[in-house]
Amino acid sequence: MSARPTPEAPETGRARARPAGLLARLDESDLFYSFRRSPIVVAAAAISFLMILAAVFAPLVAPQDPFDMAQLDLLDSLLPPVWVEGGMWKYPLGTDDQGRDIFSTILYGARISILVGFASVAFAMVLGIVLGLVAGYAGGWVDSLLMRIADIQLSFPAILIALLIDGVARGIMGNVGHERIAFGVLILAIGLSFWVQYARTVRGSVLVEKGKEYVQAAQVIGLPPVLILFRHILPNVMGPVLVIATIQLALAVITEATLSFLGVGVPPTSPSLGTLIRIGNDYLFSGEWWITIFPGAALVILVLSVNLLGDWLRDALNPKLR
Amino acid sequence: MAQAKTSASDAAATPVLEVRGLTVEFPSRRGLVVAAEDVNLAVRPGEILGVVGESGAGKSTIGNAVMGLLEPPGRMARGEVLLKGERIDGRPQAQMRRIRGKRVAMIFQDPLTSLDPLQTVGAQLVETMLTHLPISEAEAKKRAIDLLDQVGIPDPDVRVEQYPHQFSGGMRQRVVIALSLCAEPEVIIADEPTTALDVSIQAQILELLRRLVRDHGVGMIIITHDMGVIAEVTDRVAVMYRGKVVEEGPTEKILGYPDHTYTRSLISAVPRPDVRLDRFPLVEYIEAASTATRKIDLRTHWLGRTRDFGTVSDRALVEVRDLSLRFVTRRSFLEKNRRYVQAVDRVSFQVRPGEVFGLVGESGSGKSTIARLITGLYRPQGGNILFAGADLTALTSRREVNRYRRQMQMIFQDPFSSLNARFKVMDIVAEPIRFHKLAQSEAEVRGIVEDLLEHVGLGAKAAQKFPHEFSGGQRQRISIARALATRPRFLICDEPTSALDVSIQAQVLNLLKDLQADLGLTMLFISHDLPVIRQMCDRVAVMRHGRIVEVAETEALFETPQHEYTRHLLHLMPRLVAAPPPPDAVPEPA
Repeated sequence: MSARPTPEAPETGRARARPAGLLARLDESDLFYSFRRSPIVVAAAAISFLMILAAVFAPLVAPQDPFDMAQLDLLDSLLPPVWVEGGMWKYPLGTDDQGRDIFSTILYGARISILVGFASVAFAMVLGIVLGLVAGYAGGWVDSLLMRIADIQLSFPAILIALLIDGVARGIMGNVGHERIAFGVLILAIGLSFWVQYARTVRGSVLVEKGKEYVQAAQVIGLPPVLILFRHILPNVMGPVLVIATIQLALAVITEATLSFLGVGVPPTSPSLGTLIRIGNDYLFSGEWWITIFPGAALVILVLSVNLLGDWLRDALNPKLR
Repeated sequence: MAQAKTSASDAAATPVLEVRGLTVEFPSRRGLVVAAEDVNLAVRPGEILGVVGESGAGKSTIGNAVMGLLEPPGRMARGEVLLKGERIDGRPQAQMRRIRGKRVAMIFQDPLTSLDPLQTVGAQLVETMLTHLPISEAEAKKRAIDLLDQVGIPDPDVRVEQYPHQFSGGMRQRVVIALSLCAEPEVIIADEPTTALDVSIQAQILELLRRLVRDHGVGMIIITHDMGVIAEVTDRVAVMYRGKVVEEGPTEKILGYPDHTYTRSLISAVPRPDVRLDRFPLVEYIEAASTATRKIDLRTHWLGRTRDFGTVSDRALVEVRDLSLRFVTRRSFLEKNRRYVQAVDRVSFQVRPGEVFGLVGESGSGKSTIARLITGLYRPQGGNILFAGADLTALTSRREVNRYRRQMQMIFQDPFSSLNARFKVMDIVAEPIRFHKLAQSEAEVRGIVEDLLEHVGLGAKAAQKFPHEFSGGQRQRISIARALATRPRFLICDEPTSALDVSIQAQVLNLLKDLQADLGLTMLFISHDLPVIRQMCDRVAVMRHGRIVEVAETEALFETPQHEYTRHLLHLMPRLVAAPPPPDAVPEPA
């Protein structure tokens, strides 16, 4: 026989060279291989990772704490970015009307945006997965009821639902009380308007998995339905859920920004990216463009790179699209 | 085409399609995979060439390479494909499209997906003819009806206007065959043409192919894994193993006196319909899986530990009385508009302790439904299921049911979906032990799992791997280990080997036989494959349309079948023409 590898050669080769250790295993995996092959995805991952890291550690990274009055200097108000005539290195992206460093406010704002994004996606995910599992496994009227609710909710725009919940909370608590629970209300509002997608996807996957023989094998062993659902079916439907979660993280950040821009989101005392854009909007036509453009650009870059990651994850996990 | 018919006799010597030195490579991340290596084949007009081999042998790759349909990144590295002496490989796609369908046609395995569901059968035939032949639409229509008549479709002038969903599976495959014939091709490549069909329909389709090849003088390549198909219909056969043709020659010669050791082991692995053997002869050339060396001694072994309850009469461990279940096929609010299919219709039988009871029948006869009724996956609409004297249909509490469920386990058909891909083998096999608390400590659980894996021939190390690291046959062994983990008395095998290659089927069946004998298991063995039933079962029930038509001792059933349907099934059973090779024949070196 020639020295060329025959069909069985790669297999024996793989078995011999099976590396130990997590890093080596990661290097072997198909997911990481498809990740490495696409420079855009690598860039998107690097940018999202950097932005999330910078936002989380904002107090350490930011040159200035924009909410500490003692650090603000009114004489430095409305300074342009450093490369424009009159800018200073101390404020690389310029300052706003109170002398806050725009770069620092973006870091602190992104921190809030990302926090709300993650929390509301996690909330929607848990709610959606549980309802989807129940609907798919139970079937019958339970399934019909949950899916009709989902259909009804899908016919309203997510923003409208969020506005509604926020409005109700404001009505009950009053403006002052509302400010204390503004974060919770926002997360609840966005989460409640996002659960439908998870529930529908999970339900569909459960219907497919339910017919597979490993589920029947578990039933023959005698496992109760709850155990079968969470131990056997749930891990097998998580792939598409993670994809939706990634894409919805970006959507949640945008929704939060939109709500804050409309003035019903987080309180102005702890501004998110959306609040910053709204505040800056007032100065756009008086020439101080940097106050709104930079937070806006930060938002676009963050959402775009997270979206690219989500798209890649969807393709990589779906063998049919490859 | 008239010319092809008349010249069939003098052209018989020259092959219509020739493949020379064909090598197909698939570059992959982990190196070059050679799917076919230096393959030489030739088909003459009016001849059927069989290409046989197990999964992954490269059979279908050859068909695709000839048609120019290799999926990228696959490529033809070397060799040539000659159609009537003219090279057709490496031509641009536009030219290949004219050759495909017009001069070389293809029949695929699944008749359901090979037809366009939105067009009538006639429209599809006419469209193909108009694309390739210089005839008018009216002529094409007339020929379409004629072709449907030729492939044995009754009332062709009516059915030509019907849609594919109005045809049964076998009839659909006939339409596909008509479609492949309609442009008068010189060569037809059939890739597993009867694998999706029942035996009785398979026999008809093979006969039809045989006749059409003679009448039209076309050359045909049948690609199959099934030695029965090869024996039934081919003139010559090429045996493939790991991308190479190991042996080629006239069918009788290859089946009767194979030279290559691989061919011999392949043939000896095919279950024999004519005589029952104790075990399948040892098969060479197969995946590494040791047979368990140690016998299980039930007096000391974990598997034999006290079976905690139930008195068993000698008559029946499991008894099924008047069992019935119907499925709703059309839902409606009004009773009279609902439609049902009676999946199981007043079925009664008894399984005696320690015996292997077979259920045999064609697809849709209700075999698997009975298995699922006994294990409690479905609830019956009528009748009783008695296990060790207790009526399972009368039990209500989960605890009661689980006590009995543990005593009966099931092995499923599909080795790929019956194991949870996210679990390690250790956890898959340990799950029933942990859930039913059959062991005192976690260390004991692990010991039991490793011991079980040893006994099914996988070795204790398999416990730390994931299912995807195993082949189909090995996965089926894991399934068997899981089923044994509850210490069952009754094991249901639902087509346990129908998804496996013959040589692996022989191994798995040997394993089941050994375990059954060692553990004194009672088994319900479900299969559509009569030779397998003959090798495995003590008694057999023949099912049709949800009813049992005959129950008999296996030998009596095969030798003196009573019911007309049983005789019909036995008659259709494919037989390898020749006897196994003479024992003194010297194998040629590979």
